Amino acid sequence: MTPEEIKIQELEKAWINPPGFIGWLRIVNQTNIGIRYINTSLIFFFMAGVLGGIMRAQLAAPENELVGPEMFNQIFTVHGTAMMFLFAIPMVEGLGAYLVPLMIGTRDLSFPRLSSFSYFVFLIGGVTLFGSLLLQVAPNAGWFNYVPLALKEWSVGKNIDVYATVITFIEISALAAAVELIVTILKQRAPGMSMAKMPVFVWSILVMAFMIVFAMPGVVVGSVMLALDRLVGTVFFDASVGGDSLLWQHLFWWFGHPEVYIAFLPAAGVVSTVIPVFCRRPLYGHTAVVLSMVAIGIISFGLWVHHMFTTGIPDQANAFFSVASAMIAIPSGIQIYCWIATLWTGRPKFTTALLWCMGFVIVFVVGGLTGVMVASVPFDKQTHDTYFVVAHFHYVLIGGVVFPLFGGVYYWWPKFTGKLLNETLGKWNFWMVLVGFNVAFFPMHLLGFMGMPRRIYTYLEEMQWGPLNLLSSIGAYVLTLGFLIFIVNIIWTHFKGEKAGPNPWNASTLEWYAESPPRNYKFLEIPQVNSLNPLWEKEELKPATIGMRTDRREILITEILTGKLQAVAILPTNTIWPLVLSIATGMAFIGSIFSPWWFVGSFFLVFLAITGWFWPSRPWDEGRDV
Amino acid sequence: MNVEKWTRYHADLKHPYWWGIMGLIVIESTVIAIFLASYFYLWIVNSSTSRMAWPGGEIPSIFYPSVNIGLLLFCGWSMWYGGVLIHKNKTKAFGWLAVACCVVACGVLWLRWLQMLNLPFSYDQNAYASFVWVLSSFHFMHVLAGILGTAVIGWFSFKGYYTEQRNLGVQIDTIYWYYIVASWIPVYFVIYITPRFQW
Ligand code: HEM
Ligand SMILES: [Cu+2]
Repeated sequence: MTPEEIKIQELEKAWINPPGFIGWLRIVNQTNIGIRYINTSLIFFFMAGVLGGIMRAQLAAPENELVGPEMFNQIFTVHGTAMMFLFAIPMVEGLGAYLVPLMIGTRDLSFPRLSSFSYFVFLIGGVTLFGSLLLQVAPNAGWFNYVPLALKEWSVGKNIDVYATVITFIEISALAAAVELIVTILKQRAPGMSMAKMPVFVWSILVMAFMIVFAMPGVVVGSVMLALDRLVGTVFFDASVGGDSLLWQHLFWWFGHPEVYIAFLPAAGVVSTVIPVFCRRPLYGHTAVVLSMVAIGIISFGLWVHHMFTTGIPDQANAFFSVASAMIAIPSGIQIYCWIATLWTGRPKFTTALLWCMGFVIVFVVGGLTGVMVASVPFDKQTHDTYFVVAHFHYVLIGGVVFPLFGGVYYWWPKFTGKLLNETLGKWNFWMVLVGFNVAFFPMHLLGFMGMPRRIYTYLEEMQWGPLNLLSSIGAYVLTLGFLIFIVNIIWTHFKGEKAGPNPWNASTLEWYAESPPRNYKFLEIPQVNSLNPLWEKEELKPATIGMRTDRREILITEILTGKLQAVAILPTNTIWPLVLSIATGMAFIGSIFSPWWFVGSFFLVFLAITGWFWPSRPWDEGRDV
Repeated sequence: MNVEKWTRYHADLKHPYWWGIMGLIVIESTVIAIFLASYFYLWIVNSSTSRMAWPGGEIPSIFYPSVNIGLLLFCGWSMWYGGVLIHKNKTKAFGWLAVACCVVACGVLWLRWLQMLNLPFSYDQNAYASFVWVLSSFHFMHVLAGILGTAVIGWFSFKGYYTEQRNLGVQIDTIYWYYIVASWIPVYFVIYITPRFQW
């Protein structure tokens, strides 16, 4: 064997994934976990989409009796909650978990076991939420779950307890993933990759992860207070003894508004990656795009009160938050300008991935325009809680998040699986979704103007909302068919798909330097990076170091700003403990729906799991350099 | 660059875990900051609408909570000094300091328990009472977690696992202790001291 073959063999062995089902539960490798995240959140997306379809069926005609009022409440609540907490966030974090290490040229995330833990937490939380719907005890007070409606007095069953505990539980997963993305991005970039040479997608994930760290605690505190008020008897939201209902709204929207950008920024990162590749030129205004992302991340923390314009807060506050909300249009506009300029000055090749990104630009601009409209207080007072708002946020969420993420899936599928998705099916997929989406959601603007409130399970014929609702429902089914084509495409590609080499799109970033799909160790040698688009440079990439050991999981640590080589560190290997810990944590939270003692008991289980997790395996070496 | 001879034993900013524990601390600090902001929010809302005079009832004694500050500071110091010793490879001495830290921290828990038993209100009396109960218990949980973690670390040091180079676990645990100590001070100040001011 040549030295290189020996090296490969050793690396394969050091980075091996254990076989079998138990082995599957022990895997910590970032590409596996990333794929799990992406698959699971896509499945939750389809399940929540089916709920959307059921709502559209119920609303297609006046006084329809497909689902009754109580069930309808549960359906729209689970739809909204799942789309936000089980699709949008995990999907972008999953993409990040998969792509970031590859893009920055390292071999795994900083805390591989934590990735596995956060995945299992996400899975358990998601299954619990949908399970509660099957048992008809799902949350039923809307995805933002306002008190006092959500307090014990007005919501007697377990429904809201499921919300209060499961939400906090799932947030643990989002927070853990965020920390690990931040540390990986800051400390593990390939030598030479300074901040200025970091790909724009990685920037978007970095900003997103910081936003999660500061935004999520808002909803964590809110739902902990709510759970305690309901299950233990504290009085944080009881206005008769010093509590306050609007406190919930502040806490929720402190998180809820940034949440929209948490989902949107990585989507913008995808668009900024895909458009240049298919235009065969670097991104126009890279620095401006990155700065806009940072600006959006910061400004989005100053807007939350625009969800509360109609709650009777002082006019000065309304005015301030109205102006602040309009302000976010500036960095968003800069980004859109840069994307259009890239398309304009490049030679675009209209692949499916690029079409999704262009569709995004158009749909998102419509959603942004209605956003500027509802940012104005008098306008909002007219349209608040009507279908106008439902139309607005689906334009932003489907246009601004789903479209680019599907673009990303088409773009990176060959990296994930080694096979190219079918382009013809892909184009059908895209056009059906684009048309279906607009037919389904554009009429909702008009319904809102006609006074149709959101969250009603039916309406009278005399309101004359029937025809537009029928049109919207038809659109929703075209949209659904469009998404089904995606599934057909996956299956077709699995059997007949064209093989992709390492770099089928001739793209410029490092994930395309690894094989498709990548080996567990990702890179045979960690490359020295000297440019923002390393694979478009004339010179071949060279190894940054010699002497990294290949018989264990070694990675390089670099300086935060400059990317100068700093140290070599060793990553932990496969283990079952993250699963055990996630189950113990799940027992603590989900058990406390029934009795607080579950929480106390599970606390000690959690401790045992953490101890097992960090237990140093024998034999110990000397513990010092000899 | 040839990294073959470079050390792999890092217990400082060169190891990802150091940044990981910082991440945890930032998250938890944000949680506490939001709790405290909510406290002031309710205070302001209640006084500006004359719904309830804050704190709306009796104020608990500050005797036990203040003693606890002293005890917690000792825990932080013992872990810090333990780290100094371990860098001189005095692992047994470190182990005993870890034991001392645990014992004193148990004292913190005991005093906290006594104090909670004797609070002049129950948690459902008013919003202020809810804050006192929840934040004090939240911190109680953290001290308990600190004790359990430190016990394990102390045990490993007696077993001879830690050396002057391999002591990442000690560093992480110490940093977390600093946090347990430091986070108590703003909580103490807000829930026990501020209601005593008559602004
Ligand atoms: C797949 C196609 C979709 C359809 C047919 C659909 C349909 C609907 C409908 C009809 C409502 C209004 C319920 C009501 O107010 O009575 C609704 C609410 C909502 N949707 Fe969708 N939706 C879809 C996709 C999405 C996506 C992708 C997201 C987010 C990423 C999303 C997030 C939400 C949220 C947050 C609500 C509010 C729930 C609440 O009122 O608490 N939807 N959806
Ligand atoms: Cu908002």
